[in-house]
Amino acid sequence: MARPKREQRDAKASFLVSTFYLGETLIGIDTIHVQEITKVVKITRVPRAPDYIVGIINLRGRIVTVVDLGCKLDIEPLDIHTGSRIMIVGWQDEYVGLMVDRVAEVIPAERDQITESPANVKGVQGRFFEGVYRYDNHLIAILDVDEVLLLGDA
Amino acid sequence: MAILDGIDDETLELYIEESREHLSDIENDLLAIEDAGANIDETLVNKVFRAAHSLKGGAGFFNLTKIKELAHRCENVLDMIRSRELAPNPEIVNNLLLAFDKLREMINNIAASDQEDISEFIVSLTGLTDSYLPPEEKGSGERMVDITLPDGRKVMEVSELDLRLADKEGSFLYVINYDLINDVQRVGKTPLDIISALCDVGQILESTIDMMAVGTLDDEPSNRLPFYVLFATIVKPDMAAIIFEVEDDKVQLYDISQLPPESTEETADEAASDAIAPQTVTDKGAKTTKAKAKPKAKAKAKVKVQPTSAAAKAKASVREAAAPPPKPVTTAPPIPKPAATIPPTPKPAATAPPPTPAPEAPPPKAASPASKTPETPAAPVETSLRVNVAVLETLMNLAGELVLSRNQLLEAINQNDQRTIQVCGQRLNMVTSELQEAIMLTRMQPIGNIFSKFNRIVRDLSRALGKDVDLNITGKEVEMDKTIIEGLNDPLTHLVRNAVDHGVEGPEERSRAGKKATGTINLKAFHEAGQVVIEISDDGKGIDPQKIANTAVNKGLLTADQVKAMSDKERVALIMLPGLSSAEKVTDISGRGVGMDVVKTNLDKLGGQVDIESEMGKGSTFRVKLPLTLAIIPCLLVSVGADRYAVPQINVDELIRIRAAQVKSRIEIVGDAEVLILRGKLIPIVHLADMLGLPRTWVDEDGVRHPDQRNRLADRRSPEHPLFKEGAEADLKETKTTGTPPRKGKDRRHRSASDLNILVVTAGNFQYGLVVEELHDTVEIVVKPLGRHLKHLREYAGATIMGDGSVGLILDVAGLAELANLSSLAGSSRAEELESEAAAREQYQDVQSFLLFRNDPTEQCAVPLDLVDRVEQIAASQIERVGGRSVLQYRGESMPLFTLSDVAGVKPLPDQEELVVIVFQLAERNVGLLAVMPVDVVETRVKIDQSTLLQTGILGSSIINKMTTQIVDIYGLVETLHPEWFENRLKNRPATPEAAQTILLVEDSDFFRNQLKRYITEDGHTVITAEDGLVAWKLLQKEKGNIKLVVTDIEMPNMDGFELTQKIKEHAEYGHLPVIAVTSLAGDEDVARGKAVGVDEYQIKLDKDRLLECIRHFLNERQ
Repeated sequence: MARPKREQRDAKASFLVSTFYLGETLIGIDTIHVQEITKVVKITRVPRAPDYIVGIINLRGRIVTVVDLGCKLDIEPLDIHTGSRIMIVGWQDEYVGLMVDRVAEVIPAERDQITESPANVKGVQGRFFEGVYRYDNHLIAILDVDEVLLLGDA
Repeated sequence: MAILDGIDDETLELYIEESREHLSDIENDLLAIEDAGANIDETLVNKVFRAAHSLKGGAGFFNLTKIKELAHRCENVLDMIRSRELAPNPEIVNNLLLAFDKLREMINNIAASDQEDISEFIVSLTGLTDSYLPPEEKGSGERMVDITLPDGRKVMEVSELDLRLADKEGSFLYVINYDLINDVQRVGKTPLDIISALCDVGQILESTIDMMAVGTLDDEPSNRLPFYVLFATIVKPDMAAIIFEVEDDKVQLYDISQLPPESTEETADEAASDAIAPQTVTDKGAKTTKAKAKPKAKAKAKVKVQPTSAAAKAKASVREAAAPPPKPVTTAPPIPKPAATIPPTPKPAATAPPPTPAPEAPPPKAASPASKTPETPAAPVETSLRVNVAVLETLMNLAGELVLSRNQLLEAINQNDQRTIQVCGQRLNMVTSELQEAIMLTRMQPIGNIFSKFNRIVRDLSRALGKDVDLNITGKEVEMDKTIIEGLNDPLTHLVRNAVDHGVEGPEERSRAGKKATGTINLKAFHEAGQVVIEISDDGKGIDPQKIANTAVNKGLLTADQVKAMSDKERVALIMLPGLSSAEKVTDISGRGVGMDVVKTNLDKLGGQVDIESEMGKGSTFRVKLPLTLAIIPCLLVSVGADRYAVPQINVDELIRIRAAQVKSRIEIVGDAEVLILRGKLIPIVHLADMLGLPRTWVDEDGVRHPDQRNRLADRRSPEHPLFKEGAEADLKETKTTGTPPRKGKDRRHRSASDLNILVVTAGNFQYGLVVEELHDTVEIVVKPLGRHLKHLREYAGATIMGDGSVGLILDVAGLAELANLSSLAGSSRAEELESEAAAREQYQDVQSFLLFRNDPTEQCAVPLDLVDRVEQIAASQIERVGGRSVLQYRGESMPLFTLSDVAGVKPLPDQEELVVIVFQLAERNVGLLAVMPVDVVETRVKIDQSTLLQTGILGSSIINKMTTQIVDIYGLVETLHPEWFENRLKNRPATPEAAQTILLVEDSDFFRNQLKRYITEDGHTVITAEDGLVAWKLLQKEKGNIKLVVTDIEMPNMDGFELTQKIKEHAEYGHLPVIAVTSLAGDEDVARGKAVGVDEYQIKLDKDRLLECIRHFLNERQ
């Protein structure tokens, strides 16, 4: 699941963005990272784990760590409700689940229309995003999966 | 790396894998060759030779020039060994080993192999071959000969030596032209198939891919990719094309006679080499004649090859190559063809039917990859694995079954057919179990994979250290999970190195100690109780427990007191402590900063346990116990709150349930730590809930779980008890627990839900109690790794999928101990402290020194050390039998000897030469008790069982060093045999009962009290006993003037001997009473203190003679 380096990407290329909400914040993720989206199954909490870890789930026999994206991005810890979904993303040879509030549509995007993300996007640190994309009067911040899942800064 | 596009990575990988496999065996084979010396085992040499050969062949194919070159040089040396031109000696084998090491290194990093500098290996190997060559052939290794095609293109260059060697063996030389596209790819083969097929019938001298033939972009597109192989074989030209599976015109015979001739003296040389190389099949006569005839030419010559199709017509006569090649296309001066001197007729061998196959010719089945048993080279991490085809078949079948069952199940569910669903469920259950087993089989590997490399390690290391060490390996075939085998590599290497470096002594030291100069290390693997045990034992100097203890103290790892309380075994186990290295000097072998603690940590990770047994001067044994597999382990499920956790069964020693009502009596607080009292042992306890930062909970009578809070618990549990201090006041939602039904109407505190569940677990060699809220079943679970975000959590060893599909965490018992600051060091020393504290507070058991000895190797006995005068080692032959009695000349007198079996019903002394005599002084003489080694001294708090093993000569029994030990009554023994010796004493007895004196005996230990009472009563006195000072004091007041003397123990509960003595001495009425203090250990300090409070005399408890004498002395004085 190695992601091509940003600069190596074809600037002209179009790609798909899966969008989702964290609270009221609309965020996108390059669909290429997304393995699948599951409903919230039974999550086993892991005492002593970093705060942003919700727990672990069984994804067809694999143990997948679930990250509370709201907590990680410093928006607000998510409540688990019926609309909650876990986006399973491939990251460094393992799967990690990103818990989100609500999954929205998948939209096409052009690589060259992504603008550099400012220091702060909707109250979230800019470093977590690859860039910002304007679509249909919405401003969608595209998540930088590697940065979000970076270890060592719990 | 020049790899053609046509050759895919897969092929290269195959080559690498195969090469590793070859290399993995080579080491031991080479060592065996070295051992055999001049007594060459051809099969073995051939095996190594073939391995080098396949390496070379493949390398040529992939254009890995350096690998090819090096493999080739090795091959040359091996060839000379094979033909007995070179006798393998350590130097030669060393060079080969080093070269093969280098090869392995290059194979492991194949991309960079061409950049490696191999010149030193080449030089040393060439040096070997050259130095044994006849002078004329010297340098032929360097002389290169170009091989050209009929069209004059040079395709490869080989060393002249190779050609000559091949020729000497009577091989035909062919240049085979394979087309990788048409001959190989299109027919569904791989290039390696070709190479290994060729290797089976001869040897590849050189191979190359003709890049030129592919042409450039400008040329006509060519669909040919020629691959040339210079091949030496005994296959005759007429058969060649068929054997090689190519068209006739693709095989060309290379004519050795085109080579510049060698010296005329070669005949003699060859004759000689013939004599020692009987395996050469072709007639040498012809060739030598031919060679003799050849005139000298320049060193480097261009030679041409001729098509075999033509040659084949000449049938057998081809071998003579009598016909000069048609018009050699060469830039070199024409080679003179002294045809006239060549014998015109075919040689006998050539005319004869094809010779019987040369020894190396028939392809041994083992050489073909498919039939190889699965094996792993040790060094690099495996990315692929060989699996037995049968196992794969089974897996396939099971997978089929699984699919079938699923289909059936789905169908049954659709139709809601309960019966079928049930049947399917059972079937699925069975299939899954079988599948699991089959999968496990694929992971099992023989431990020999790592054992085998130790031959080399021991050889190299012992040589470097100037020691002589034999390594015996047993149990190579024991199979274990791949991951465990891989993880074992480092720890075992370390243990083996240690055994060579620190265990086995140098030859001189060994001789001095009266051992064989050659040390022995035994490496042994075997199954035991569902586990695999690996033993590494040496017959070296053993580990000095005192030295280890001193080091630990010097390094500040332990205090002197802690060490003092330890047994030798515990002291030896200290070498596992981080920061302790037993090596006096740091050698380059051991001084790598990797200590035994790392070994232990690594083994802990694998679920292994280490046990050390060591005996000074005799050697040490490290015993490593390991589970068969790590992938599926039996676990105990426990829970805290609503969460379930799995604890590996291997860590769980026992489960303790403490009734709510008993908590106070079973759990003690020492310092600020909670400890569980378990059979007199103190075990630190840790709450799982605390460790995980979860609130402690309890279940009320309605089965509702509540956070554990003091106001509720205080009613039934001591509020100041730290065990039940308020847990973290988390607002855990009250969750319904499943199992526990409400038990109304019963006393709350007696409900099982309120009981305390403690898992006594072992982490390494350290035990602690883990308090959990509920215990569930034992299940077999599949261990799955945690993701990267959770890997750092030391609390968990992994995760698993539970029966209901949810995920459960597996606890890491060792990790929890560390997190709770109960690391083996801190824990054991603290526990030690607590134990002695507690023992001092409530047990008042005397520390008694015992001399341990064996009556029989299996029967441990002990006598109080204070009674022992000396211990002498003697030979059985020194014992003299005089007048039906055994005596030993001892210090100028004949000392009577006894054995325990003289009076007691114990095993007779074994019939062996080395004996021990324990010398006692009693009844005014020396007597000796015969025993056998080992003899040891322990200082222990004994609990003596006076009933179970009581008999004449045996006072009772106790558990010392984990062995039931009989305490010997030396007085009883001697008295039974020689009552007359004690008559003297009996005379002193008070004649009439009236004259008998009353003596107050104060002693808390039942054993000693009874013992002393018996002694004193036998001596004619009346004895009143008391269990402690307080009772004694009361008795004293009650009996008033009756009591004439007090014999008291020092360490006693309630009121100790000092206090009692002081009270007596200060009292006006009793002040005159003599007080004899009896002690098991008369320390100077105690004596001084005793004298200060007025103790008249100190006596050792079981020294009957002196004590009685002392009593008599005081009583007589009174009178």
